[in-house]
Amino acid sequence: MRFESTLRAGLRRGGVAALAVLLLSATRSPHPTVELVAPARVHAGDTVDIVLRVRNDGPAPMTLELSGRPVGFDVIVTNPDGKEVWRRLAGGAVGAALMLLTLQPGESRDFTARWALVDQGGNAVTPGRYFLRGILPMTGRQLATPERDLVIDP
Amino acid sequence: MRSRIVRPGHGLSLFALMLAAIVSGCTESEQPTAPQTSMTSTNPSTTLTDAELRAATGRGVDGEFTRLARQVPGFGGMYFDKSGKLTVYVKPPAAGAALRSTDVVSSLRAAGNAAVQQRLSKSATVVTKAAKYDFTELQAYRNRLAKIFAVRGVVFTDTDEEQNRLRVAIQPSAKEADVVKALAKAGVPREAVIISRVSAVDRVKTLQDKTRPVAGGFQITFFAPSEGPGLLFVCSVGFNARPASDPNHEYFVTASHCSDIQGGNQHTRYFNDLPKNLTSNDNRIATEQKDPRYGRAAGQCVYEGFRCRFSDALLAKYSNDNFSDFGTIARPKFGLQRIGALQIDRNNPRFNVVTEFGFPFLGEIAHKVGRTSGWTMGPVIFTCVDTGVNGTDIVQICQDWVLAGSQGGDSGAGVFEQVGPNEVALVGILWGGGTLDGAPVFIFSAMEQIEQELGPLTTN
Repeated sequence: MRFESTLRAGLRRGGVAALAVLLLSATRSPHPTVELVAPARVHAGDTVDIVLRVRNDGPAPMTLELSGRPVGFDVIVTNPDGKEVWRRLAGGAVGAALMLLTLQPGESRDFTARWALVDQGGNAVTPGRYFLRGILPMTGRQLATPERDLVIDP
Repeated sequence: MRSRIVRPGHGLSLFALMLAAIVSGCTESEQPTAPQTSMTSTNPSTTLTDAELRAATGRGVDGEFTRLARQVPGFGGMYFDKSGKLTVYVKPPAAGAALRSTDVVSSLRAAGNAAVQQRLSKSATVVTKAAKYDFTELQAYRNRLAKIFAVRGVVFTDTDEEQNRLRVAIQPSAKEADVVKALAKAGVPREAVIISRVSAVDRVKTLQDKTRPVAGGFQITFFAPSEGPGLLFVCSVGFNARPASDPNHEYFVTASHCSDIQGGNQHTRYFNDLPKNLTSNDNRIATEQKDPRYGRAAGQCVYEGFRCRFSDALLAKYSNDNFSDFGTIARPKFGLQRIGALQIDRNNPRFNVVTEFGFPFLGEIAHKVGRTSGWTMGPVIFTCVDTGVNGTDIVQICQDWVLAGSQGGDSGAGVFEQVGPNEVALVGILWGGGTLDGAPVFIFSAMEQIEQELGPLTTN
């Protein structure tokens, strides 16, 4: 697919052209997949890198419209009670540019958040089990990762 | 089949009597402007049959005028002229006869539907003009144009009530001869048709379309090789400007982070519409010209480990001065607080920049027009706020927050206050967004801050 037409398909709001391209060519899900990559266990006092990975699992190139510069992806950490203890974007402003990211089949791109195992107030969280979710904002929608857990050992 | 143009009696005698009683010297009658060629043609293919005349119909005003022409013989349509006078075409029964407008009006008042009577009742003066065709004849000929759109370049067909003719509009590049040939083949007299040239009907332009000249609010795209090869970003033109340092050339202002690297001049290339490929300059409209580096912000950056500026703004120079629609911002069809229209208002396509406000006051209503969420507006809820940018080491000093929506791609959009129906005062450049208690906000750098860093700008 040509450079310009791939971009144009991705840019057209309403997605008609993009949808047509994808429907014609996709044999699997036409949507990118998103997941969080992080260690299963860490120790209190560590700083953990949490990677939000977006991947094109389809058979054709796809162009994603990702909001923000830097891309305004979010990572949300909750405790077993469901209470939110930390999130990457809490209270922050995001530059309002739009990134057009073209992924070839099988290609992925990572966005990394760094969590110092503290709550929103900067206080160290207690050891235990926590749950992580990631959100990737796109024009007109957002992609959410499956939840995964993280255990903080003392 | 006999040749005929003047239809046999259509029953109603009132108008026929009126026409018979026409006397010369009646007031407000006009001489015909149409050619006086006889409708009786030697070419049998141009004659209308009774069946065609009976079948003639139309929708809207054409339908009502066709119906009226059956009720009021000789009625050829009506319209308001440029001075506001209601003008009625009447086909006279004999050459040289004048028309008495009062009788025409009374006939139309008796036969017309509510829409016609409303117009008659508000028209103190009615002017009559001699028609070449009655409206039923025009519609019957129009029905013969079934294949006219097969002619390349035909844009529209019309029964032109102002000219008492059919109109076939063609694109500038179309061949009039092809239309003439098609008319002859269809049996439509050449004299009954005006062929005019118009631009093709475009789809409604949006803020995301290619445009020349470029007004504030339209989309720009640019490569950011520092983040990866071929990686493309999308922002909005804020407003056009002429810097004091180069007042004879055209520039636009957009956000500093709408460049390869935020702060510092990388000579970023800007495109509208999309670039054709990585190296092509097709659709290139401008190049980054001035984008001060982030640093201590004249000693006002007190935040350790962070770099600052007073504005997230840069100056880009148009590659052709004619690309700038100086002093204007695109005006979409409507604006709302969270998200607005992207489609440009055809009837009112631009806001005119008439002045600048150095900074906003709390509580004022600020507007923006950006390529993703269109025209939005809301109250200024924070003024002169030092604002950190998520995921960076940047703090923007003294920024202003508005309770209104923005989305990725709106960066760089001009922020303004309305000072008249179509007049605006520039107040800044949008660069960021977020939420406040779940409500969307956009954040902008004020004009005073922008001009402190980019230098004095003329914007209107």
